[in-house]
Amino acid sequence: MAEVNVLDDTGHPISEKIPALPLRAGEPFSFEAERESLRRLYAMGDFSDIRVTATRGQFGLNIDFIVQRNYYNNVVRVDGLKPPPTESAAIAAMRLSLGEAFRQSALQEALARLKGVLRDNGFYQPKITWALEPHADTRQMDVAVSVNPGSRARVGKISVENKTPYTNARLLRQSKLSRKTSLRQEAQSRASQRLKKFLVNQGYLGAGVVISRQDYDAKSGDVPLTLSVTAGPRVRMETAGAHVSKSRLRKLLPIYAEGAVDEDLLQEGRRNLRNYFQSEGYFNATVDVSSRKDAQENEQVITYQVSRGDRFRLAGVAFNGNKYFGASLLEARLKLQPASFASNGRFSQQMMRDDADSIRGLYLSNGFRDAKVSTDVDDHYRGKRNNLFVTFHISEGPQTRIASLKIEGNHAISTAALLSVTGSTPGQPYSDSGVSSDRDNILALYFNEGFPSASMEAQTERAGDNEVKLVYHVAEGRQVEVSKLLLTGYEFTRRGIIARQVTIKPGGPLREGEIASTQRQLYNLGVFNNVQVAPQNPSGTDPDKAVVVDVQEGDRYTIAYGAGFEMQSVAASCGSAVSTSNSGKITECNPNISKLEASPRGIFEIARNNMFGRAQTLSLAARASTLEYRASLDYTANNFMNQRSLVLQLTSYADKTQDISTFTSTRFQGGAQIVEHLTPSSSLSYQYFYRRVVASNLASTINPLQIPLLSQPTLVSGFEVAYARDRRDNPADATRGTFNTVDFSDAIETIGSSASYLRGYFQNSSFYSFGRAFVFARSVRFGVEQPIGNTVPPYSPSCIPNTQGAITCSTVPLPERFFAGGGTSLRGFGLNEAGPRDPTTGFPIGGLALLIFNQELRFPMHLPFVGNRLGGTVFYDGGNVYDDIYHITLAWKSKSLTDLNYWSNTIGFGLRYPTPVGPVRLDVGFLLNPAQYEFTPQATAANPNPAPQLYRLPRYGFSFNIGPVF
Amino acid sequence: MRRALCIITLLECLSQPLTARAFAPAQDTGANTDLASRSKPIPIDGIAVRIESDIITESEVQELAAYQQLVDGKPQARSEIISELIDQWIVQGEASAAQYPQPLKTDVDGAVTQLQKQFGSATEFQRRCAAAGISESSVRSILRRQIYLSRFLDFRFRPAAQVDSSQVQKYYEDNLVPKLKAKGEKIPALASVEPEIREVLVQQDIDTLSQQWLDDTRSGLTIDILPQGTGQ
Repeated sequence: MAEVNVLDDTGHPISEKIPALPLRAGEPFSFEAERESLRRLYAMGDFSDIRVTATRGQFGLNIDFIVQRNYYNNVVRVDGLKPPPTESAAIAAMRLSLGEAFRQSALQEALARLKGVLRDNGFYQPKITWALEPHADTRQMDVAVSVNPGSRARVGKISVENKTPYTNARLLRQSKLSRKTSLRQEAQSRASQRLKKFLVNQGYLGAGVVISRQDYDAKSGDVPLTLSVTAGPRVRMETAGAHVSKSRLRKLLPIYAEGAVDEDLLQEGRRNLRNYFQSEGYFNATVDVSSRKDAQENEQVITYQVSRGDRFRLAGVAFNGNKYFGASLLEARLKLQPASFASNGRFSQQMMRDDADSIRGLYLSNGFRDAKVSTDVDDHYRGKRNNLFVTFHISEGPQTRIASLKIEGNHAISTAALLSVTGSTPGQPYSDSGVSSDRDNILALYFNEGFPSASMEAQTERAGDNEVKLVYHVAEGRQVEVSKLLLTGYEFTRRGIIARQVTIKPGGPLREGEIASTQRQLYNLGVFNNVQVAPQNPSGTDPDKAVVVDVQEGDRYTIAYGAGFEMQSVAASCGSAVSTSNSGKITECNPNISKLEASPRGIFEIARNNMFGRAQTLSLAARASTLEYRASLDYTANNFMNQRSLVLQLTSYADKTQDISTFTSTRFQGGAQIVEHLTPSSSLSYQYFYRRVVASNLASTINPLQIPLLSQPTLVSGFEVAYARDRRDNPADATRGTFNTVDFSDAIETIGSSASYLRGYFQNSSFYSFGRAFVFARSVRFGVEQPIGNTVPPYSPSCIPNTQGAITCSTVPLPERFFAGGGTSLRGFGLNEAGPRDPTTGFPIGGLALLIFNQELRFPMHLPFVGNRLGGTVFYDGGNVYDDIYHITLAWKSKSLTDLNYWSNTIGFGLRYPTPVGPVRLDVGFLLNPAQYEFTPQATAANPNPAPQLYRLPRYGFSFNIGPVF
Repeated sequence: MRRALCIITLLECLSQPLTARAFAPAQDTGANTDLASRSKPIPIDGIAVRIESDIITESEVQELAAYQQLVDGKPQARSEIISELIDQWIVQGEASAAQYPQPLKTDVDGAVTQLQKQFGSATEFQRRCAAAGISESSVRSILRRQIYLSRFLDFRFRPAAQVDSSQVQKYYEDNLVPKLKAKGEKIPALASVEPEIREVLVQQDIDTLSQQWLDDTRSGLTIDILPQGTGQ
């Protein structure tokens, strides 16, 4: 042969890198070499068809492989559907995977599957048309499917094949199947499950229900159904020797879940019952199972005979023989649980065996190949009957170590780089799990460098006593490179917005990490329902792959609405007595009595997403209850100034709250904030804020002429910088980690604020878990406000009204001060009750300094009925709100009856029930040093010289909340 | 695949002479044509079937057609040839994954010799090969492949092929005896022919099981049969 060429269908040589072909110029032609060459070219995955031609040339035979390039699946859209099925369900059923070679046959199969899904959902006569849109430049094929589903079929005549003691009518009623309802697969499945559940509940544990469709009647649009129901034998479960609730039996006995009765399931139920009683403290419990036929009732009776034996208490657990691992580490792995408050502990023979296996597994994975663990149970510990003590005897044996580690076969990644991710280095303990972990880490490195078919085998060889030589053989495979990036699927979003989130680089290796980070960043924009990143031609041998990023934009508008209930304790119980002062009528309120207020709450939100195609969001949210009204309008722009770490937020909201019954606060706020995400756990925000606060309803409680400062409308305008670092494992219910936040703000009169002041706030919280489920949580909060310029502290002598009643200075507005008290700060106080009080009304007025310490110990409990879902806490809360920073003190008592600057101390107990959104908490705080305070009411016509009134703060504080304390 | 199995079964199990095939005009399959005398591009191969990430080539289809022309006097329809090659592809994949050993050279030589005997002489055999448009090396290659695949199927499915005495009895009474009676030949005792009958029944069972397996496997594969001589 003179020449061997690979040409496209225009006759030009192809640009793709061709593998070495067996058919070579200068060698004789053979069909064997030609076919193998044809196979290798096809295996590249770039070509849908290849023709081989021969031409006689001047110097011999010219063989041409003429290729036709593939198209690859791209955007698939299905419109015209009437859900169900939804578009995404229809596309998923078609299984035209992004990036796979497009084939007409695959499209036909996909359309057949689509028809199947439509039929399942009652559409028997759909009209499906489809159109292809090939993109020759990118070799992508878009498929647009248009469906006219027609009318959904309805359930026709329902025939019942009844092998149960119930009537057909009863069965139909239980299944809730009825004629003329829309025919949907999901509804059919639910009907079948309902009926089966009904029969199982009646004791027919082996019941079977099958709903099958007959032929569709095009004239009536109905599909007749056949309901085949078989009850099987009736089974009655009994327990003897101990009471077990029905719900508990259902959880323990697998015959209920499986819907069948066989020997294996009966024995499994026996073991589950035994383990249950053992875990309840009946450590020697035994359970036997027997079955008999009750001819009179025509049912099978299965009896679990329980012999509980004595109830034990697991006093403790100890280890001996362990040198390599400390007892605390071993104890943390145990299922056995020694007795604690309100709990006898958890023990069963199975648990003890599992724990011994777990400890042995720990030793094995650390090179102790001969480790043995045995157990010893003392059931008369310290001479007390039924007091158990378990000892684990550990024989560690010698530890096998690695003498040497060699890595072979690596070329693309250096040995040093591979060694940096291996834990099995010379001198380290040898374990199979360690080698497995090394394999995962090394392969992850290769996958992330574009070697998707890399593999690794480990070989060990003895090297003396308790030593092994380790050799890792790496087969790198071919590196896959990104030839180009194709962005597709977007309609409204600007291309640049998407492109900036893509971390995959053309010309570089195809890294799995970059695929994952691209997907994550695109999802984080919040405007895409679905993001797929896939290489074209994934299974072909061609190492250059075009990578497709396909996005599916979400709805432009999202609407959310909901209803809820809120309840909180608010200060002041106002009676109906009214007296007349110089300024008018005043309602008398007792500042020392709090009341519980509850209110339903409604929420509505609407958002316009992806504004201007820039992944920006405009949202309006409204919340209303009798305790609070709020409406907010927000604009969020991710990737502000094309920086992935910057987010711009423009906010405005109006809020009317009654959480401090000294006054009703109406607040209007606006702001512009830039948030910079420094790391995944930390951020810095820069904000301009504007707040207008009106404290209203003061007239009914406080004489405005007497205390005009508090009734003045306030305007706050300023800047704030805040830093937050959140390393908690779960912000809603942390068990480890830390949370730190610092913010500084400055309200300035020259930019419109009614008062000028500086504000600083700092919080540090940390969480430590130990033992099985114990958590120690602590927090310190410190805040200070300092009036500057013309602004003076509240009740400053320089701020007394003049003879005309005019005020010539400003003070920090009431709602801007620090408040504390309640379920999220000082739990010995009612909500916002801590700190200084108004000298004429006695109501809390907040302060310019705050210092709070919280400590709590959370522990598991094992209680009847709820088991160990309910946890407990004991806590100490200390601190207070102070007049200002100069009045912060640790004094146990306040200096006088009108000076409430002292250090409060609260101890308490709480119950916690975990939920996905945070714990539901009930806390009871006991204030060790409740302060006495005095106030002198305003003079009235009836009482021109009122006597000072003396109160002591309540000793107990109750709070019920969802979410953490701090 | 079934046809190949029957051919091998006949060659290896029964010793009755075969009648010579009737001559049929040799078909021009397009392979091995004298290309050197032409200057226009001549198509010599292409993709006949895309099966998963592999292919079956047009030349393989034509080669098998030529082989059938040689052995049977005429080839099957194209669709049947393609079906046969798909079946071979499936079995080949399974055998390779199981690392089943290739047949020895002596086994292949024996099969070639057996085939040549059907044509009377080596010269006649060569002449018939040329007329059918297939080379001797291709015939050898096809025979090697068929021996390999049939042995693998035997290895794979023989353990599951169970034949009991009643089945042997039934075959003897319903098939062998009537056939021999019709030919006027002596009817041997059951005991003397039982091993052969049992083997025939086992082979039939293997055939059934392997066909079932092939059908199930094929239904899970992505197969595109391209129109002859055109692309997608």
